[in-house]
Amino acid sequence: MDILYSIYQLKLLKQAFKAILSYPLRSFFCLLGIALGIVSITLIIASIEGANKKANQLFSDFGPDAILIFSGSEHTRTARIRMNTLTLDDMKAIKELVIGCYETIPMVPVRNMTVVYGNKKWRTLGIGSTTEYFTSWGWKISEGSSFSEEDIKEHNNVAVIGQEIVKNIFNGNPQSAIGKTILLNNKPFYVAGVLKERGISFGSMVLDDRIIMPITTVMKKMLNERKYIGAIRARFIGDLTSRINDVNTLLRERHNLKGEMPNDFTIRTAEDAKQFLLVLQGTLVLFLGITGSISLVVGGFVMANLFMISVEERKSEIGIRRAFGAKKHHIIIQFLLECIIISLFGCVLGLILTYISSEIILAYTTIPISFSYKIFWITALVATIVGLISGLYPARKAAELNPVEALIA
Amino acid sequence: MLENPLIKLINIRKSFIIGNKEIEVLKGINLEIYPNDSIAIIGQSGSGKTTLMNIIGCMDRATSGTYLFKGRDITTFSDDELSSVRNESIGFVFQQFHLIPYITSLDNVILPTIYSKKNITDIKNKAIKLLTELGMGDKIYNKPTQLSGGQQQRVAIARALINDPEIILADEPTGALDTKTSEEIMDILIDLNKKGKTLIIITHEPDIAKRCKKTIRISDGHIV
Repeated sequence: MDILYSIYQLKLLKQAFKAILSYPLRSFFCLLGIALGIVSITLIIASIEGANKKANQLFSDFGPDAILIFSGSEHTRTARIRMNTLTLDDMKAIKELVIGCYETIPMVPVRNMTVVYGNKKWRTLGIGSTTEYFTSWGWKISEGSSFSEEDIKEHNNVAVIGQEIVKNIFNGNPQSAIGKTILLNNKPFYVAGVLKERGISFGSMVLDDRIIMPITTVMKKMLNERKYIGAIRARFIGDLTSRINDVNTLLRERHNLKGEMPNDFTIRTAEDAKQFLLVLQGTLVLFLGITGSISLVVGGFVMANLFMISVEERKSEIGIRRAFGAKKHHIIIQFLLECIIISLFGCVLGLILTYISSEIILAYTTIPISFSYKIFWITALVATIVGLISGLYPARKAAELNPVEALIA
Repeated sequence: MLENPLIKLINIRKSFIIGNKEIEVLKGINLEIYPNDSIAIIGQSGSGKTTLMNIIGCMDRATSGTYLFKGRDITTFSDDELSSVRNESIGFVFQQFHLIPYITSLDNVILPTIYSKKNITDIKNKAIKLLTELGMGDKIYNKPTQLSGGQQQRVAIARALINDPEIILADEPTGALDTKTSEEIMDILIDLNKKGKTLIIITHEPDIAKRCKKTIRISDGHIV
């Protein structure tokens, strides 16, 4: 009985395919409606996955055991006022006094630093730091080498440049950059190495757009600064929250901040950065979620409507099928199959369109998009459900037609 | 006659409600049809012959009365059960041919087998054989719109035969055809009757009726 039933269904599948191909215009518009809905849905899923992936990468790049301490309070930072409050002594104190601290790295930023080589000019972010900078942040050197302890001791004019600089100054050829002398804020620097590409960006900030120099060189020769630094990266063993408390207390004490006085420094963790990214994604997800659902619903309505018209058009066909022995459920299954098949093809078209549009999005924006096989199954399921729901009413209507009346129509 | 009737109608009545009025179209029909009969049901339009055909063909139900089909009372059959009876036992031939326009002759002939539980092996070859016997061997992949009326009716006859029904039920089978083609189609139908099919033809043309063994005249809902 069941085997016979499945034989029916295969036969009905064939009938459904023939009908779909025989009404190409109807099928095409249904397909398009579903496809556009699928595009929206897949883009949501892909961007959620992309955001998660990016957040996780950010988390591991930043280091789950690391904190970043910036000069300036929360308030002045958001107001884009740069204040130097942290010192090299603060850093030493953290390393020596906070329990569990196993690494501290100072960083001094040079914003909007000009890079000149021949007739090429570029503006980038310069960072003065120590040799641990590279290992701690997970930066790998793809060509040449990083600067040495000796370079730091002797304030040598040595630079390690990011791929964005290679792209804009050395025509994308990293080998040609090694050993060249470039002008950074009008001072000659020797290019010792090139950073391996990270390919990540946050908003307008491209991670690969940076040049790393010995901190001593930057402070003494570029900024004429003896005491203050921009930021400290510190890593700890043990519970990070209590370590952050320790750092906070220590710095307040060192900066003579009493009672209600606000901090003149800001502490950031990987978790903060992740939260920031996820909040941004949240609004995007909501927006896309609404548009995606709407377009799928519209697609479903288009299909339901076109099938209602189709049932009207094909009354005589339904009458013929009934006269030759089709039961009501045969008619229902055939129409439902037509809807589901169209939906699934719409789903495939939608996925192709999504792939194309994601390539465009990836090329022109920084929205992270990531695909997995999960998307394929989710959308196929969604499309089947939409097909089923859209087809149910027209299919029932077709099956309930009086065979005699249908035949005359 | 010793044989049991294939179809036995006892006091069949059928009325339709149009507006507030109940109009009785069949007013107590008693009829017996035996295997291998060929019967013409003849009558003017409006006489109720099409309604009678729909009831005989299990497409419609009588308002009252009893319909015995092969001895079984099918008045109480469900919609699905009636579908099975149509599928297994009745081959329809219609005035307007009623082929599905978007599929080929072959697919039209195969159509009734989709809904059949019989496991007919090699349906396609059987359909091609039927079409070839009816002189349509070179048109099996043509769609109905590419065929003449006579050709379409031949495809329709092949379709009526594919499930080996006992009964061929033809409603004005020549009504849309010219005289010569009508003759050919009637020849085919009469030939099928000779080969053992029970033939029921609904018509208003005495010439067609003459070719059947029996003629039943229906007028104003009664058999006269």
